[in-house]
Amino acid sequence: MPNDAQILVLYALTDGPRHGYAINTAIDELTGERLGPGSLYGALARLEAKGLVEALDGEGRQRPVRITEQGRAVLERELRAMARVADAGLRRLGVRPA
Amino acid sequence: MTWLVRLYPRAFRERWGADLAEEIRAQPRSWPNVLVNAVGMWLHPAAWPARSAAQRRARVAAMAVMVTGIGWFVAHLAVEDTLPGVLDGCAVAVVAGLLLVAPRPALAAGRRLALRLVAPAAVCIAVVAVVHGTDGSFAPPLRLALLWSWWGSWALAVIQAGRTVAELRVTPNPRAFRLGIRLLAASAATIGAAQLAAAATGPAPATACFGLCLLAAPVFLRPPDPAL
Repeated sequence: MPNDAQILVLYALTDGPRHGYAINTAIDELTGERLGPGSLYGALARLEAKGLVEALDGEGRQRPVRITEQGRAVLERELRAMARVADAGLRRLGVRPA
Repeated sequence: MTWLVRLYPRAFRERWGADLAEEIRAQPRSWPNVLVNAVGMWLHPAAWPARSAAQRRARVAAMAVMVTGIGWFVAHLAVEDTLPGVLDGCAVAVVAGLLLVAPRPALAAGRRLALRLVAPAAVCIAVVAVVHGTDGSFAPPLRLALLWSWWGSWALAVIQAGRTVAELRVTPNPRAFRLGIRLLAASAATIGAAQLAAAATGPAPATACFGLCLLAAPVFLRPPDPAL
């Protein structure tokens, strides 16, 4: 099961392939803060090892990364689970889900 | 602070080093995060960039053998006299685990090597037959041809053997491999618990620390993702 940093990286890649720096910029726009460099590239390495993202050919030593079909499926499953938890939690708190 | 990139495993640096250095330059105060994740990366060789699933398994196997081996050595130093039964019990699990994760060449490699050695062996045998079947006095061109054939065959045999060794792969069955890694991790944790127990009966802080580290073995000693 991916952790929070991995979920955020998968989310950032749903718009298309990006470099690590651009991934972190997308995460910053969503959450208001960047992942630490170690967390970001640790998450990317683990996602690549699981086959959820893959590297593309790029110029120089930096290569863009894209989400795989398996990665999309895992992200969807995790987001649905989060949505169920958020929905149930908000209802218990008496707050109407958005 | 980009020198922190050097703390990561080489496979990681080659794949992500340039990107990581750029991100460190963008977040110069992030060095604790970089340090912690470098340690995490060393403890999880299954996550290092690899050319194949076999290479990942080989790294995890190397880590498992190393952790178990060091644990075994220190455990013998620390608890051999006090808890020999625990070590004996773990010995069986450790041997079984090592057999399950150890790299082993496929039988096909042996057949491939035999086929590759047929030609050089045939030439060598022919040269020996020719030399021993005559009085050994050959005209210079024939003598040169025999010498070239003899040493050429040996060179070819060496090259073919090297090729075959280079093609050997770690090919344990993935399920057996996972079982082996879990056996080794459980053994390391058991040895760690034994060391902690031994440390409790006497002042042995080093043994206790090492025992605690080994107890955590199942956390970091894990097989690669089953999806691979």
